[in-house]
Amino acid sequence: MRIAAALALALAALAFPQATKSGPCDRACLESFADQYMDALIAHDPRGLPLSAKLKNTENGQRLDPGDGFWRTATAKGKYRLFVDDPQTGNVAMITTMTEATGPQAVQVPIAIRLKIENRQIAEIETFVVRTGLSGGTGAKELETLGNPNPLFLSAIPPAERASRDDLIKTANMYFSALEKNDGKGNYSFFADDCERLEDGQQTTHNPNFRTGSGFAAAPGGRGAPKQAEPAPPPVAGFNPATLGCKEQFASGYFHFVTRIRDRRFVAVDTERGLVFSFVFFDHAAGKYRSYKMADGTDASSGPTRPWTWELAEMFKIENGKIRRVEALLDQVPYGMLSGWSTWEEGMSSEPR
Amino acid sequence: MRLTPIAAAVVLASMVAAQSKSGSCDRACLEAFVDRYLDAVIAHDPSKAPIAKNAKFIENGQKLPLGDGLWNTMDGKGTYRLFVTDTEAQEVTFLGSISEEKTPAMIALRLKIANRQIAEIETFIQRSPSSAQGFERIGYKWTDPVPPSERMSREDLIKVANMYFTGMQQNDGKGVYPFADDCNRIENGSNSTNQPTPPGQKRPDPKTATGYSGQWGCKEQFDSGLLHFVTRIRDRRFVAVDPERGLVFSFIFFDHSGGDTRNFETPDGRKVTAGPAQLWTWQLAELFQIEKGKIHQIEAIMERVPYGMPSGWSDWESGLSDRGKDATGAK
Repeated sequence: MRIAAALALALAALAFPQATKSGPCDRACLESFADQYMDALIAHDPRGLPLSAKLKNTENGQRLDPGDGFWRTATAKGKYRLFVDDPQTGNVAMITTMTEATGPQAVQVPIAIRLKIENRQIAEIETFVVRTGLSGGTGAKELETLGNPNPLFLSAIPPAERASRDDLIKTANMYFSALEKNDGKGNYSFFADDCERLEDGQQTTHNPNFRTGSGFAAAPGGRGAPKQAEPAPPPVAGFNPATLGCKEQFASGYFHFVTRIRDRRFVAVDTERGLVFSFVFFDHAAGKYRSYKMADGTDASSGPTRPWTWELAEMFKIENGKIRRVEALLDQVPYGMLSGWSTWEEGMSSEPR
Repeated sequence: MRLTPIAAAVVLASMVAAQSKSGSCDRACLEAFVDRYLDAVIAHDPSKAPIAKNAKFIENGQKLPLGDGLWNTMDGKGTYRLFVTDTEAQEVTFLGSISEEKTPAMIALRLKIANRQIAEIETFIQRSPSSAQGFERIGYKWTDPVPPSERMSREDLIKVANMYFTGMQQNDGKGVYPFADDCNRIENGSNSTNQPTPPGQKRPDPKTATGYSGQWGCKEQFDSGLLHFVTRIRDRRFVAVDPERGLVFSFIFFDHSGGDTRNFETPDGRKVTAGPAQLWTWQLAELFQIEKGKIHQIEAIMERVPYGMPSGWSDWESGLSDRGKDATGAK
């Protein structure tokens, strides 16, 4: 009798390992949830996932029922995977690639995922699929060509040099504050000298081959309307910011046309590796905000010619208080769009959270 | 008691003010608000339009502070202007061409007027120059009155317009499609029905085609069952009705869910795969001209937005629902 009961318990434990495991979900546990989620997307079936009863699910800023949206179209996982694991809060965030649709119409897409794990169940799902982005839809190919993230992201910070969560977020937020209405006059010492940035798989620092024009491709017209390409904004004569490093770009004052960086949500922090993962929006109000003076006094007229918002997943590698790597996924969304995780006031605010 | 000239002027002014604030705004009055609003946008100055203090402002589905969005970039009005004016609901809607940073664009605009002030502002900007140029070239006027004896009720006009959406959503070719024989549709400035067959080509046959054709008429397209891939037409807000002219103005979203929803059967049993392979939502303003229960003309502007996006005017449940809603606010 006793043995039978013990056996039943043991069997139950085997059948429901999640339910019986206790304690925080560590790095391996968090990352395994990300794989379970992606596998369920590909199976087009949320039923096998350990979903919390109070699950909240958004995709590209929109609340959807699990099973709708990318659940219907995802078909394969990619190889490129960059995690920010945060066992303390139960959040796991990642940048990776997946395939959408099948056959000749299959397309690789960059994707950012955030899951919040509570009691070994998924309580929050936030998915961001980039279908055009800065690279005109080639972002996933760029990432897959790289193969793996820069090894810097995986290296552990020596315990004595580790920054606190708050300090890591503070440093990451300096990036956004300096970029918003950038005037080249700030203190940009939060950048390490060797800082580089990757956006939708393309290096946008020290890269003379980067063409910003591709980032301003308009959404295609309606049925019956031909595809219409938005003309690239005229660059400032003789100045290509992509040739510069992080600090020099910010010191130039070129990015003044980024009028508002809002809904700054720092959603996962990995103190061991010095990583911060955020979701944010960059608003470009256009109009008079396109005309400004660069730091050296040059009159500039640049940036999108109409109200333009980028939705972004942006992550930072920070060592000794300095940003060494920035990696982002971005895609255009309606101007002023919210994340689905904030009130309107929070969503329009430049305050970090 | 004799009034001094100044006192008389004050009394007179207050009488005029009272008179102009009371009573409803007629067609000319409502339509004048559109120009007052657009002129203020061009001036980049919300104080130049009579906007109520707590007016709600939504542009392309997003709540924005007044003065943001198009307020920063619009620099002129275009030549295409079409009104659907709803005197009963005190709503005026407008589809027109505009200039933004010297580039043509289209605007769908809805203003709700209360106490001779703008109480709600809904704008939808569709940004492709060819669309605005197309509407200026071929767009409809829709100013002719329907003979009084033939006028339809508000409810019936909305019902017919909603049959269009119901017939298109998961279209199977077997529904009731209330199209007049001369029905034509303009989407983003181009005819998306009744296009001439290009020289040297054969007009696609709905019995053998695997995708719907812009060369077909409205009814032919719906009868084909080939529009099945429009998975969900949701948040169907009928925001202005003009029974005098037989017009209905709506804002809606078309979701294309991809995956298995692309596989379907035509009415004659052929298996077809069609529609966007990646998730795709159109945000639309769609307008109908209806006579004697039949749709004669349709105009729409549409822009791709994130899949599942809401309008900013509905709760989540009704935003995802495919039920038609009289959202005019008429009593």
